[in-house]
Amino acid sequence: MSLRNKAAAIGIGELKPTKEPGDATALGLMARVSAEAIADAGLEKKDIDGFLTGVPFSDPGMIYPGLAAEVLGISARMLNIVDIGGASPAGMFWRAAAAIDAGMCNAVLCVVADLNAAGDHRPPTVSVMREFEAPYGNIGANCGYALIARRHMFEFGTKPEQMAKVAVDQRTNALKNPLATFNDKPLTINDVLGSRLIVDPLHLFEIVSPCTGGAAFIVASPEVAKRSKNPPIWLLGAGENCNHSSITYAPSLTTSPIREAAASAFAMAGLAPRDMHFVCPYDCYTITVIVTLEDAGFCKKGQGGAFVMEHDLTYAGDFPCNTHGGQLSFGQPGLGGGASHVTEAIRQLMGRGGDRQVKNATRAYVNGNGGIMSEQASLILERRS
Amino acid sequence: MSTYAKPLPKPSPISRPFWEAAKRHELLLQRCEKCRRFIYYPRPLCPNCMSDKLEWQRCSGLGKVRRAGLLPMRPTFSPSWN
Repeated sequence: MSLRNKAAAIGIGELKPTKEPGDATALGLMARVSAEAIADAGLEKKDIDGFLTGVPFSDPGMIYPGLAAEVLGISARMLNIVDIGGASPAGMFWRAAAAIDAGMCNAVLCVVADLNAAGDHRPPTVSVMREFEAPYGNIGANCGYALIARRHMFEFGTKPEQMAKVAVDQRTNALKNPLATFNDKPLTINDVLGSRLIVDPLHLFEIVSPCTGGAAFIVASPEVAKRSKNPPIWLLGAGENCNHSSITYAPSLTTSPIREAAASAFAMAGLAPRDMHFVCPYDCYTITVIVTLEDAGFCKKGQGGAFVMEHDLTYAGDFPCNTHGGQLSFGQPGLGGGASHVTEAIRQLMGRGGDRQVKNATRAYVNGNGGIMSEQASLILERRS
Repeated sequence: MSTYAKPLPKPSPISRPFWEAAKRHELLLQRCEKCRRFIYYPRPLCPNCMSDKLEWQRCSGLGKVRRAGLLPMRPTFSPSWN
């Protein structure tokens, strides 16, 4: 079975992330971006018959999709949560397409939002982490990604300035994005390497910043896509893979399941990395982008550091990467961080990139990454000429 | 005995033998009776062959460090991105 050309994104809604939680609620933010996405698609609420969401870290609840859909006033023929961390929005896209292809629904609202509230309010059901990881210092994402970065440096000679370059070019992109959290001043490699070392070798400006915000997008059947006011952005290929949860048990520190996820997506699309006009790889850390570009096949394993130095990753460059600024400059509103890569790819392909529009861009590679390089979802998207 | 200040594990029914042995200063590892692989952390099934015939084997605690990573970090931190 293939999902090639079976469904298209036709509308987006996204909030400018903020560092302050204010008096927002996750469900309130979901409602705002959902309304925006439905209006953007030129649909009405009654046209939505599929609903995919993620459980906000700040407001976890059981049997969540029905609750969220009820708050939004949506009746759905298919509803679910997608719980694969930062890969959830990319994972929602192909699940929506699969449900549409199966004839279960016609227009799926995919929506995530969260608050920058201290801590994770979900119940601590992951006893394995509590028992065998945290007491020995493997706490949170910083430690895992520091191990990956350190190992990448050891195996392949990757340099701190190569990792920093990712944050620098993405900031250049963010300067042209009014929605980005950090869009007021450019960054230099020295700025990044001079920022506080959080967990060696990760500096502050290489680490994603938690925010309040949210995003939504509509995935529709070819019939619904025909009457949208936006050009449909077709799903050409999708792939997903996961081979570990804790980095402790990952088969490799430096090769991720993106290899399998991206290979599946490119095979379904019948395309290769060289056919892409820009990329939106999940970027919780700078090393994440380097590993993704290698595993997805944009360069050979171990050459990601040299690759990002040799190429201009800005919207005007020869290898546009995370033209919204990436999460590193856009901000990470919970699962909305991973949605920002999907919405930016849709936005650019629709020709709505504004001052950061990539010229003649009709194909994009998107990757969503959950946990510590664990859950991976890759998408190939296209605007037909 | 003096109080122990560090975090204490909350054993599950599956991991309890491991922690009870650790309290006796013994290292027990699960081993699959079928495929003979060692299993760590304790699991309900062998993650290699899915057999549920698992035994606890006492180990010397001696081994070879294959890889090591150093993570200098503060025990608590609250970074500011501003």
